Amino acid sequence: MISKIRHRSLHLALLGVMIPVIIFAFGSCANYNSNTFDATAYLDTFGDPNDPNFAASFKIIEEKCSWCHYHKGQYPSLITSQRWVESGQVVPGSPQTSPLFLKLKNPSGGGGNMPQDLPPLSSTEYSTIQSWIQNIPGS
Amino acid sequence: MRKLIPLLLIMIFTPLKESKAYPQFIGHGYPSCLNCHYNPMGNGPLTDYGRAVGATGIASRMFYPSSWSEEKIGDSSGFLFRKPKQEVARTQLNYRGLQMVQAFGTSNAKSSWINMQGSGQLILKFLNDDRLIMVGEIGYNPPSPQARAANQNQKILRSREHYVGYRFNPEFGVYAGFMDKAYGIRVAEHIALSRVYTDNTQNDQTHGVMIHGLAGGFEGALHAFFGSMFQSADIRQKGVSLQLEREVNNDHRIGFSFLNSKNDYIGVTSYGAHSRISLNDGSALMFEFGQNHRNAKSGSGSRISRYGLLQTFSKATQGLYLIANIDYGKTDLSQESSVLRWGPGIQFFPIQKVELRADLYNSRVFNENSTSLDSWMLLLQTHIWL
Repeated sequence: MISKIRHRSLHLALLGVMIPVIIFAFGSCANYNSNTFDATAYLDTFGDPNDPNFAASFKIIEEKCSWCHYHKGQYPSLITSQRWVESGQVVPGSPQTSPLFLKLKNPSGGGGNMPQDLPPLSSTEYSTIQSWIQNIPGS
Repeated sequence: MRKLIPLLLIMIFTPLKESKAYPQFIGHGYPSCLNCHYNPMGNGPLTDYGRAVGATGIASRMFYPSSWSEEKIGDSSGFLFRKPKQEVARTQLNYRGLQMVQAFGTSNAKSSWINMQGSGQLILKFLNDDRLIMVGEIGYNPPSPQARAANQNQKILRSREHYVGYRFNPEFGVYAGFMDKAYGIRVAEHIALSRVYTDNTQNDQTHGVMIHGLAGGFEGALHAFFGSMFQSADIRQKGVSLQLEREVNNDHRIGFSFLNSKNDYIGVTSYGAHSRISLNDGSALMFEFGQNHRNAKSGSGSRISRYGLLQTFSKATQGLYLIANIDYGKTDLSQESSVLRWGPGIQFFPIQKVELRADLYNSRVFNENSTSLDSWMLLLQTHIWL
């Protein structure tokens, strides 16, 4: 009898905790998925109004990096050059001290280890990102 | 590829006399997910029956005293190893952790632990035979290490399922809410290209209405969806999907899936053929191949992708399965580059509610004039459910 009451109490307690948690939590859930970057990936007019070089670099990052980096969900908020700077991944005017750039394999050899287990970026892609960081406004 | 098509057609349409059953448990005589899951398309919490099957028919008995009857083991399959005392509510807890070793076997090997899932589920069920159900799930949302390094403010909770379901009869039911899209074979590997190319990964649930039916050897689901309401309206993928399977000899299913959806930026169409075949006493073979079309509405990025998946599960002894996995993808048919990932694995259920799995993947990228070096990845997974 005591066991039965304990069992019911356990279920009631769980219900009492889970229902409010579920209702509250649904409204504040993580929402990134495979569509998170559709605007940036498929809209040519996408870009940073303050940095004309950003869109081309971002598309390369989208194509070559985001795939592993959480199925495009890793950088959902980094949609302007300024936000990349704020993230610490990019140092304006200084590709050689920017973590993002340092992680890339150099197509001529050396460099970092990204994209991991895949061929390096092409020379054009590599220099596009280099040029973007070099010329971020305000650098 | 053309030479393979006749072979694949023969494999699909030739019934195997000795074969028995999903996705890989079709090998145990359970071709339909509805047998063991509240969601008729699988995934999500198990029914009482599904828990009992897991305890008695799937997991190893090596840690049980030989005096324990099947009924006694089945009775311990409820929440916290107890037999449910009431019929209205069920609670479940799930945890999945993954030890991932990239560049396995090299001096650059990098190992990391990922808490993939830690979630709680609440199921409320009413009417005879649980005809009316309400399922809610909420859990930990694992941020990637890279996201943490970038100081991104990621939310720590995610719901992958919350819906209401009503079955008019055992053959027909309607489900409304947030759930996975009905498409293809939902293999456990969310990195399978059949799931990645078609936007059916672990985070791609959608709000919508799904009807599910069984009739005349067919089982299918038609899903009308309007995207995740947690996202902004412009990127919600709205559309319809269909997954249809035909049963052949009760141990072989052939199927077809179709998905068409769009948001403000892109239209997506996916289609694929799939089959699940029971080989013998718990062993199974599954394959799926298909294409995905992405049509950018006003910009560049349109492409057609192609994927293929082949998996076998061979039951070595109760609770232990040997896995062979081949995963192929060509992201853009207009380009030469393609990816082939393959490898063996072991899945072990030492006791009910515990799954241990080890998978070794070899990946190669093939280009027109070059091929990447072999890269190896080791995945060690622990899955516990209570």
